[in-house]
Amino acid sequence: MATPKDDSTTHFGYKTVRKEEKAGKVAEVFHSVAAKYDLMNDLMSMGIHRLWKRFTITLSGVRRGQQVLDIAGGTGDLARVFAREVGANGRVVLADINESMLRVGRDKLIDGGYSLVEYVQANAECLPFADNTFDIVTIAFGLRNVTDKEAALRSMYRVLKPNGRLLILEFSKPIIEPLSKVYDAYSFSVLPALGQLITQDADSYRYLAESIRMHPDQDTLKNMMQEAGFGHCDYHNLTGGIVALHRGYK
Amino acid sequence: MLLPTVLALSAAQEMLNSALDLDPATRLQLNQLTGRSLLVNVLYPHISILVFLDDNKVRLTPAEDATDYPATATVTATSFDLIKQALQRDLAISQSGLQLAGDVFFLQQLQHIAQQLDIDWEQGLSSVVGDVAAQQIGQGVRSLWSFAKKTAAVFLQNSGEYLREEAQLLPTRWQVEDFIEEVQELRTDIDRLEARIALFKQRLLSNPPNGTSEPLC
Repeated sequence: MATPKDDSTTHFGYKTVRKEEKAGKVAEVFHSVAAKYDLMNDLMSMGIHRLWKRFTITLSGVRRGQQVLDIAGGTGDLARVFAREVGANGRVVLADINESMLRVGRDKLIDGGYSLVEYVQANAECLPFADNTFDIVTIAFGLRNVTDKEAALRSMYRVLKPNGRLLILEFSKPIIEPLSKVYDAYSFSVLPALGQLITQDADSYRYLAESIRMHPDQDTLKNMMQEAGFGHCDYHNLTGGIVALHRGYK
Repeated sequence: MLLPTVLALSAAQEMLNSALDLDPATRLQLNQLTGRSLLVNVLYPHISILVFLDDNKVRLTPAEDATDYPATATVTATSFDLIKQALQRDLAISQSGLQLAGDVFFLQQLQHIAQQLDIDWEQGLSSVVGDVAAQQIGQGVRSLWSFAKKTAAVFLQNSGEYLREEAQLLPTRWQVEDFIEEVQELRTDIDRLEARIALFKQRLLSNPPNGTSEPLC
C-alpha cells in the first residue's frame, strides 16, 4: 500500500487527492452507479457477494431484539436480513453517506415490506449516534471509500455497546499468488468494460479496482482495529483472500 | 472458519426452522426455552456449533463465535453418536454415550421436545403441490417409512439371532450382563484390596514391626 505524501492528502484510487476532495469524488462514483449497483455486484462477483454477505450475517451472531447499524449499507442487502432477524423489538439503521445509494436502498427495503428500518445519511467518521447504542455494527464494501479510516473505526467503536461487535466485509489481498494474477487481470480489464457496458461508466469501476489495491491488507486492517480499541480482533479470508471479514469486539 | 462450513450451517438453520414452522406445538415449547443454548462439540469431524434458542428461531452459529453466549449445556460426541441419538429419539440421553455437561435438566427438556416432534410435512408440501396430491404423497411416504422401519427391525433381529445363536460370534444379552456383573465385582474387590494395602502400609509406617502381630481388620 502506497502512502500519501502528507497528512492533507489521501488516495482516490491510484491518484493522490486532497482529503476534503475525496468524499466528493467517491460521492460522484456512487451517484453514477447507484441505479445499477445490485446488477453490477451480481455480474462482477458472479453472485458470490451474496455468499460473503451470508457469511457475515452468520458470524454477526445477531439475535432478536438487538440493535444493528449497517454503515455504507448501500442498497440494503445486509439491513434487509438484519431487519428480519432482530424482529419487531429490534432496531436496524441503514446508514450511507451517499444520498443516491440510500434512496435506492430505502426504496428497495420499503418495496420488500421492511418498514421498520431507519435510514440515516451519515459519514462513518462521525456517526450521529449516542455512545454505546448498537449491539452490532457492520460495514460491507464501504471502508475503503472512507477518507479517514482510523476516525471511522474510532466512531464505530464509540457507538457500539460494550461487548458489541464490529464486522468489516471488504476486498482484501488474495493469499494465493496464481489467483492474484487472474484477479488483477479481471479487475483491470473486465470490470471497467463491464461498467461501461452496464452503467456507461468505466471510470467508476476503474476506481473500484484501484481502491481495492490501495486498501489496507488483512493484517494492517486488523492492527488498525486494535489501535481503535477493539479487542479479540480476527479475520476470515473468503474466496482466497479476495475478500476478508474482520471482526472486533468492544 | 471456512466459507462452505458456515454456509452449510446457515442452510441447515434455514431448513431446521422451516421444518419447525410446520410443527407449531414444538415451536411453542422451544419458545419457552428462549435465551438458552446448547453447545455441540462434534469430535469427528471436529466442529463446534452453538444452538441458540431465540424467539421463534433456532440459530446455529459456529462455536468459535460463541464467546459472548455461554452455553446452558454442552454435548460432546462423535457424529456417529449424534446421528444415532437423532434416529433413536426415545433413547435416554444418559444411556446415549454422549458426554454431557452443564444444565442436564435443559438437555432432558430438549429431548422431551424432540420426542414429541411431529412435523406436518403434508402442510408444507400442500403449498407446493396442492392439498390432494400432498395427502397422497404423505400417505405413500408414511407407508414406505413404516415398511422400511419394519424391514430394518426384522433384519436387525434376524441378523442378531444369527450372530448370537448360529454363528456364536456375539454373546447373548444374559452373558453380557453376567460378564458386566463379574467385572463390577472384580472392580469392587480390587478397590477393597487397594484400601487394605493402603491401611497396611499406613500401619507399618506408624508402628514398625516389633515381633507382635495385629489383625488388619
